[in-house]
Amino acid sequence: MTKVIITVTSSVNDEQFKSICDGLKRKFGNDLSFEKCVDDGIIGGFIADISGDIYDASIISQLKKMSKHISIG
Amino acid sequence: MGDIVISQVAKDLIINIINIVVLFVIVKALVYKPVKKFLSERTKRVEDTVKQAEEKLIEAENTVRQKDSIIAEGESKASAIISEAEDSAQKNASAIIEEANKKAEQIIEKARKNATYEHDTMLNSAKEEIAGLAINISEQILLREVKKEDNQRIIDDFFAESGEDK
Repeated sequence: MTKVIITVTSSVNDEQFKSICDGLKRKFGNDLSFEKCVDDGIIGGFIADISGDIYDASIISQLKKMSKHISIG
Repeated sequence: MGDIVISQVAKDLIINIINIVVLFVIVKALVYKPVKKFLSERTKRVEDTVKQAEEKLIEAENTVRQKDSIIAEGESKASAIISEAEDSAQKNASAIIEEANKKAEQIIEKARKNATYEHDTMLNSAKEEIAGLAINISEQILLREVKKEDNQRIIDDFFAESGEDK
């Protein structure tokens, strides 16, 4: 069983966390176990760490990409 | 009687002639030869003196010509040295001016590069600062404004965009 660490904000409720887990199972199969990690620093969305593979759907990540784009552009 | 007188006159004449001859011989022997010798020696001395004077004159003229030649040669050498020095100075001056121009161009080019670098650095710094400020402001706003529905939409969008391929 593959362990998945999901980072979310404190505003994410159980229903939303479950929808994240369900989505990941659809993508990677049912052989997954989930651990919830709360970090309000990500502002919104989630980050999934699947055995070292990072799937980043957080707002803070989007902001950092935008900041980098502004700096380069 | 007449014969005797003539005879006496003849004798006197002969004696006188003999006296003259003897006197001539004596004078020639005692006076003429020494005087002639003296005059000859004197003439020779004068000729030698004149000859020496002519030689000295020629020597003096030669010396003057040598001096003139040496002076002319010296002037020629001095002129050549001056000309060479002027050429050398001109070449050195040209080289110094050329070197100075090169250094000036290098300084200007370096200053231009530095100015460009400073400009780019300041511009990038300003961009980063503006971007940082924008992100900070965005973070502060989003921390307050992100709601449950927003989170759900982000989750849905992620799985919709990644689809079934991942």
